[in-house]
Amino acid sequence: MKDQFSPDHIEMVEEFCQEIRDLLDELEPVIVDMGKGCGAEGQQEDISDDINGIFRLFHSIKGAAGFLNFPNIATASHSAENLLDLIRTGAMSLQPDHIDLFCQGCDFIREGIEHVCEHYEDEGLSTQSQVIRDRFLAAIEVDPQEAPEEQGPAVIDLDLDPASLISPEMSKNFVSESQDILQTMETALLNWLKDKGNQDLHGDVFRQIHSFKGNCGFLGFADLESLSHHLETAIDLARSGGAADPAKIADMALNLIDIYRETLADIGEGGPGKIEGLSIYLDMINDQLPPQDRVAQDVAGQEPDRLGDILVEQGAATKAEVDVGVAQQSRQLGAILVESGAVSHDQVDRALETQKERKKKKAGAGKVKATKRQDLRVDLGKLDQLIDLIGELVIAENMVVNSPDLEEMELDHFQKSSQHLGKIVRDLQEMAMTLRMIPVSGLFRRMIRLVHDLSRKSGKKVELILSGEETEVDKTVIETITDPLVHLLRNSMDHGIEPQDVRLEAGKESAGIIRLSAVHEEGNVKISIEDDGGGLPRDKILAKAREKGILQDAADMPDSEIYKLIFAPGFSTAAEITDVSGRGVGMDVVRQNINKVNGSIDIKSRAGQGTTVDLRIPLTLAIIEGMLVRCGISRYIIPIINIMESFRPNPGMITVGPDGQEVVKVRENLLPVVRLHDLHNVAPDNHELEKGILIVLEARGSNFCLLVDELLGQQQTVIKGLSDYVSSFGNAGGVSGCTIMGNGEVCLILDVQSVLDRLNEGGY
Amino acid sequence: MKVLIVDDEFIAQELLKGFLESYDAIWNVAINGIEAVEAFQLALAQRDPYDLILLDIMMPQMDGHQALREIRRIEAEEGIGGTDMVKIAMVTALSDAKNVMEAFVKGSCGAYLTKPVYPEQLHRVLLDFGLVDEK
Ligand SMILES: [Mg+2]
Repeated sequence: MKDQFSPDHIEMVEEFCQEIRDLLDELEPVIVDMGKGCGAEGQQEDISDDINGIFRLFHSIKGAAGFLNFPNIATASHSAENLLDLIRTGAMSLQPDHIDLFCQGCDFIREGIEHVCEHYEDEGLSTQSQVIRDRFLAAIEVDPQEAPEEQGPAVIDLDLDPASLISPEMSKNFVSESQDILQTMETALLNWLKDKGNQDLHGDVFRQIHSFKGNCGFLGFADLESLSHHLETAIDLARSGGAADPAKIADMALNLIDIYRETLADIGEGGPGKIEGLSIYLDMINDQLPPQDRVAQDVAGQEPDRLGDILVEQGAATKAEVDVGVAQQSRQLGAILVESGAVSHDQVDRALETQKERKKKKAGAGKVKATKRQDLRVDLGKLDQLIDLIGELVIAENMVVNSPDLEEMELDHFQKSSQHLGKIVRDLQEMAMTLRMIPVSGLFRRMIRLVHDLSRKSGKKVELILSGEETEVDKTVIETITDPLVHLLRNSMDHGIEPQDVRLEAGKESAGIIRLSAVHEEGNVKISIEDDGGGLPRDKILAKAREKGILQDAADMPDSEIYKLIFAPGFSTAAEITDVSGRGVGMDVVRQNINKVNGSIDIKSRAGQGTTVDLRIPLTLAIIEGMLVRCGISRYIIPIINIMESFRPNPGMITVGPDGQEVVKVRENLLPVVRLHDLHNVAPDNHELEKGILIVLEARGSNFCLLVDELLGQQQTVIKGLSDYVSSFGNAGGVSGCTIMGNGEVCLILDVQSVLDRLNEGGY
Repeated sequence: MKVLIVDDEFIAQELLKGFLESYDAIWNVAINGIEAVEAFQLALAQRDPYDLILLDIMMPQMDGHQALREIRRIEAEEGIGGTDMVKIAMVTALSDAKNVMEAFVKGSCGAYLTKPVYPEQLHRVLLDFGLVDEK
């Protein structure tokens, strides 16, 4: 579709969309505002400035649309100009209806923008444009002073959107008719499930969904139509000998009936009939189909006469018979409506025309809102190469600026230039990191499916509420937290949310609620999984931990630490509680993965009220702000974020515990000491604490002191992917990665959290 | 028909004059945006405004975009709006999306022609603007 237009044209259209959108945003409020003053007796307020401004809006659109050869948009804008000019010159007075009309004009332009963004021409807009032009013409021709009462309904009759063509009466009929269809379909599905090879039973199901889809389409409920089209395709493929599994499809269809009913209820209450998370359901259906049969999204209504095709295929009817039948069918609802006097013939024709255009529109590839944010597809490999190169650049810059050759030289100009260079390099690096950032929405959306499946398996009703989907994180973060998220959600579903009867007894809603949210928080992204279930069983966890030998003494352990035991390797509470998902390991995977990306886990839980798990993960994984320290001949980077303070201790501060653990008193706190040289078997300058430097480190609320020989200074550090080298130290080594120094030397990055963990486990 | 030709290049001015000769038109020439705005204001003050401005973009001192915005600003100040706004056709070598859309959206120009301009195109603009009848 896009190929047939020149790149210049495409660029021009995109610019057009952007500019006009901004202009509409600016002037629509003016129109609405102008409406507040009009219609009332004694229209004294001077609105000529507003009228002129709005005239310019439509004038600009007309000009630009004309230039781009969008005649439908241009002519509609021109008709708005005409009315505005009459009002401006005083030939007509501004009426409240006019405000509506200008607003509708703006709506049309907006829809037109979406259309041309996708198609790069405006051919599909002719009906709508005609409607708008007719209305402006009607407004100009009817003298409002003469017949103000007749004017109102005339405008409503010509409404642009087929959805608003529908009277409350009609939507009531549609809802009740649809409910009958769904009821029939449900029964048919259950019968078919019992005898999956039976063509007749399959046919019963297919007919129901087909006519339901037709009704939805005619009345302009696009979401319902799209979902039904997908389902129809799936059901078609599930006929005996077909490509899809009948049991699965029928199962899915039964579930979707609930969605349909909810949506119908919404329509019954005057709602727009939108289906929340439609794309998930569509994906869900597609997942059940072999790849070549999947329905492309937004291509609903592609084959409106599918039933006819099948009849022809099966020789049940000739093509001609079917064509007549189909024609009758699509007319049917319209005919009924005309008979009942709800709509006129013209309106039905217009609506059918619009329906046709919508189908045409849907047949176009790509999403409607594709150009709202201008995106460029780039091969991820190239992007990573770029980021790697920038990483190298940072290192090279470091090497140059901190070159040993320059030591002790007075280089004022060099200093200045190198500072400038450093700033540019850092900006570049920051920019490069944002290139890898993607929103968590994709990941979150996948969880809807997971919760849905688990909910069905366990029979627990659960509502998953997502927020902060637009939050962006590094692509690697997404990859790393996918598994943990799955495990945590499973855990919430299996162990958090109680069975329905338990919930009802506890005075809760029968359906559980799980909230999944993402938010940025000081260089981290915080992902929270919050359920309103029974909370974590503190005592059971303790008992289990003792039994497994994970824990000896829990006398002073805060609850938050006890809860974290569920992430310990070898810990599983699954045995006590029905393990519906057949999960054996699991929770320690969460900790491992989160550790891998320098993240942290926090758990809050209240008995009977629910559990919240917060994952905090650094936004970008490739750079850290670090302190370079020396221990003997080795150098280490310690993330600045973990460093509280550093000092040279005096003998009075140091005591040695009965277990041989050295403890330093820092103000009122007694902090254990870890010797960096013990950690990696390095020969230090000296072994006395008083001769070294102690750094107070903090991780997730706990503190300890680390003994090093010297602090060398602060610097930005690029974590290099020398994973094999680093992993030879393992987590036990307390190292999370390594970097390359200005002089080319490899330097290890200390993982404060894992050092602390080892300390708590009595490993040092 | 009273026309203001705004272009910094002699050849372009001559071409546009030559084109206008076949119509019942009088014209003035401005060589940059500042002159153009002055000419526009003068005509307003004399109650003999221009029917058409042919406006180049790339000009010294004040470019066509600025001149266009300035003219529209003056009109708004004077309460001149709607179809009373002066008809402006951009006549320029610039054909990129940004320039085109800026002229239309920010400046409400009525037409945009890219050089080289042919008489048929200009005639089409005069027709669209309602300045001449179909012959
Ligand atoms: Mg020039």
